[in-house]
Amino acid sequence: MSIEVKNLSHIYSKGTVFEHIALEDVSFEVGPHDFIGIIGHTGSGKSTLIQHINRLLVPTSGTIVVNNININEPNVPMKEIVKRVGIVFQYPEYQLFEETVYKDVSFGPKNLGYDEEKVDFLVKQSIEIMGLDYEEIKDKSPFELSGGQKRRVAIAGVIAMKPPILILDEPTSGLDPMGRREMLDMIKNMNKQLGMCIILVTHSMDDVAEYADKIMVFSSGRLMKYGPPAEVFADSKFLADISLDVPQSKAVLERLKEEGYEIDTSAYTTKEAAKEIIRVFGK
Amino acid sequence: MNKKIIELRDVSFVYDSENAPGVKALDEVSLDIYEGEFVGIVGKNGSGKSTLAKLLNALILPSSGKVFVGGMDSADPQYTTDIRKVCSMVFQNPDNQMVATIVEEDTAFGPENLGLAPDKIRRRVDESLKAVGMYDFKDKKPHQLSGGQKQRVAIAGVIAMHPQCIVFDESTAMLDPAGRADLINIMHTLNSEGVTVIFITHYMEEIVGASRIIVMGDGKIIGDGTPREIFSNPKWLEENRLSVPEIVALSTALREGGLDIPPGILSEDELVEALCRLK
Repeated sequence: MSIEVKNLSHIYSKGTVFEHIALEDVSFEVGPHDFIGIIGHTGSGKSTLIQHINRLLVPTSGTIVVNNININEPNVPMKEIVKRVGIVFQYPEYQLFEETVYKDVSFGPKNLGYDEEKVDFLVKQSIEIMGLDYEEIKDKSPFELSGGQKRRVAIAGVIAMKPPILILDEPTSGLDPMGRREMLDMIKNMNKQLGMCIILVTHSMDDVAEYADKIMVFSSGRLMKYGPPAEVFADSKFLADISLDVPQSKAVLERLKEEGYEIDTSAYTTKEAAKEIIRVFGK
Repeated sequence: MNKKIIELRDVSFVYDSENAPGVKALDEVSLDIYEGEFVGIVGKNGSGKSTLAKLLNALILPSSGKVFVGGMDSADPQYTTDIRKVCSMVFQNPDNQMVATIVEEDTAFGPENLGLAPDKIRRRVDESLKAVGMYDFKDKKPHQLSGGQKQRVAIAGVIAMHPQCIVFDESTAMLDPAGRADLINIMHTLNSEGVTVIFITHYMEEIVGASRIIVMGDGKIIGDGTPREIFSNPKWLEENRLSVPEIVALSTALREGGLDIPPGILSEDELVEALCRLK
């Protein structure tokens, strides 16, 4: 297993009047090549959770093992964790700071102590993985780039450290619909071609339905469900109860079933739902 | 026909920064928006949507051309304050929009600056917080609220100014599905009470209920019609880096698969109804 979280709880401001339980007894395992989608309403504990996976937060109780290392052991240097887990926060482009794209992307690998040649290689590779033209962009100031390009450069800076696990918090927010698709395709590619373990935090049910292999559903600090999309979306009443919704195509299938049609409601992508509706309603 | 509330005549806007001199964000755009409309504005990143929004309450002034808000020329400094009374804005990030440390004080900020009497301010604060469902939170501090709640407080602050027009610039982008749905409901309620709503978004399904959609591309208006008209052309939208709402995509797939589904379906209800008629 790549990540093993056991009985993780996190309480903010413990022992004060502001005490707030952000995570409560969360346990799960993630495989080395999984593509996990995390969904849950605002305040459900998603962000608190991901910050534990690279020790930005320390658990109130429970353990987190990443690639066989218990990351909260006192003798584990931060560098070892950063090598294993990359986190891309919301609007990562606000964190660009260097004079050129090359310098910005090389910041991480340089700090890991790699030699110039290796840094060079990693920077070039990461920029290309993000679908940008290395020669054209490397000497530009990050601030000359468009919003979409900036975001890609920011993500390149994280993957340049070659983390086997990449966590992304709402990487598509603020992008136009095509930009959203391109970003998700790139992430899928990192998972399928490069074998990276991906954890994607999002508000979009349609995105997790289409891209994730497994979905975690959080509500009020608890991991309520963890399984493949078909299983998680099967219980639309439960999702509605915790103010999430099912993908719209699935909602249509369920409505048709309520109308009395003999229809299989397990599909959750547009394509699969269309197939099933045509099967029932076609001649 | 209702009265014009916004009028743009051949408006261009050029951003001049050190790194990118002379970038034309808007290119001779002309546009009329009438009182009571609910206008959705979509367009790829960099198409000029946010520049357009900022021109509507004189946050920026056109490089050439004219912007009139409620008949007032935005380039004339004597009207700046009045323009902002007519047309207010709600931005994307809920954390950047609160000015006070208590919810009700935040809502009172605008009316206080209008120089209203205390009892009048009290009334406006109460009714605005009630309108967005945040009255029970009036004594809370900003950090005790969720993103969606903060956005609602931002809107209360805007409503308390009694604007005729509100521009929402990607105000749903940072909210969860429930927060988004709440916000869109509030927009429709305000609109039904006569407020002109201009809503910029990247989420197509959020504007199926708009009365009109404007599509921007490379600083120009490239589409202007009802949601039915705009969403009836998925290919053209894709060419412009946009998409159609999920329901429209599903209806299109069904039609292409041979089912007799009429074009122009926008909602779950309409699609289920059309399918039920088939069999």
